[in-house]
Amino acid sequence: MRTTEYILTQDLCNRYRVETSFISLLIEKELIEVHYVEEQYYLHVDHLGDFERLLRLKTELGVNVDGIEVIQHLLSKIEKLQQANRQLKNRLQLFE
Amino acid sequence: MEFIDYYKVLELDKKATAADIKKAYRKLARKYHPDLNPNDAEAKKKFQQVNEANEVLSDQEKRKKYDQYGKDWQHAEQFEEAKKRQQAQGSPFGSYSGSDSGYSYSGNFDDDTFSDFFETMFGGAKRQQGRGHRPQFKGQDYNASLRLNLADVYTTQKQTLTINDKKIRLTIPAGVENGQTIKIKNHGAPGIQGGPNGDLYITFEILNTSDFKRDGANLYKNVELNLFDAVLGGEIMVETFDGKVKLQLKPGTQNLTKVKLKGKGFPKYKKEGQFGDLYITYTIKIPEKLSPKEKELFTTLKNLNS
Repeated sequence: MRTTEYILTQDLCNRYRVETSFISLLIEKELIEVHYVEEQYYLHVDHLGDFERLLRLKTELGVNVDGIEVIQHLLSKIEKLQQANRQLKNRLQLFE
Repeated sequence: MEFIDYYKVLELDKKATAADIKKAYRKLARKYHPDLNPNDAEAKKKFQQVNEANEVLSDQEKRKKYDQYGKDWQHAEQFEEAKKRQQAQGSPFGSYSGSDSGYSYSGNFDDDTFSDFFETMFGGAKRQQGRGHRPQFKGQDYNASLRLNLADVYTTQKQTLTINDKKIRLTIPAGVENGQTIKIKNHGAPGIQGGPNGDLYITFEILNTSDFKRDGANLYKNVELNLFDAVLGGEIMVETFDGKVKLQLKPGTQNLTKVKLKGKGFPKYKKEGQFGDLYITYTIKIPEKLSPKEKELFTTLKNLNS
């Protein structure tokens, strides 16, 4: 595991000035993917954007973790629907 | 360049108080927040307009200038000169400048981009930093769209794009689909305070002016047959996406008969060497203008069958 690619979750708390409990809840609800190594949780740098997005939902929109979980679920549904919609639109061109 | 009615954007009237503006801004920014409206260009545009309207109306000085000169934005420069003269003599407006909102939304959105109208009125002022909560370490993600012809994505190709004055050499895999978005890691805005760069998302618009219809990796094409080939059978040449092929036609081929040419379709995305199929539908053309001799022969055929 290359350490430069992983960020200790405690460092995230300090960097973003966010409570440890917020990150713990995100981990508990599997809203972020973390790696558990020697009793410490690490976030891969590729998932930093996802973490920041969840944090914005909390800080900018005032949504709690339960709300974030609902939003995540609905957003993933929207993404699937958008993908299906794109495929159907492309297929529709067969009949034009 | 058109005048932008910031009051209309925030669904307010001109008498709106600072509290009304703040309330309207928060309501609309939540509605159009990019994190809640992924891949929605319209919502993103609205969010930008709402941010810009708030930038002006929540700032006493900007609002005063906008109310006075908004519709007359062409004279904003004269206003500035007059203001400078006033400042030299002691401004009657005082020195307050700053937002009353005290809160702003980012949504990993490039909110430093303002309309031409704003730039002209307020001289390209940048959004004030440090307001509200804006934790960000990773650089902003960029979004771009790329228009290509269907033939362009038949093979994997390299293209150089200029994104924000930076040249990016990009490999576009064969078989990319219309509306598909691909992520180019680390090609977004630089990270903040040593953070990783953002990513670049490119959405493809694939224009198809060919005779082929496409569904994923499969291609569809109509081929017109003359009546005699359809009745008697024989050999025909058919155009595929990468050249002509010879096909054997069965005697008595019916109208709308479908033929599958395995592996003659479009490349499968990120599956090198794998291709979809080409489906050919035969349409039989009935002769319209018959010579007297042809008419006589068709009549003979008809009589033979009756």
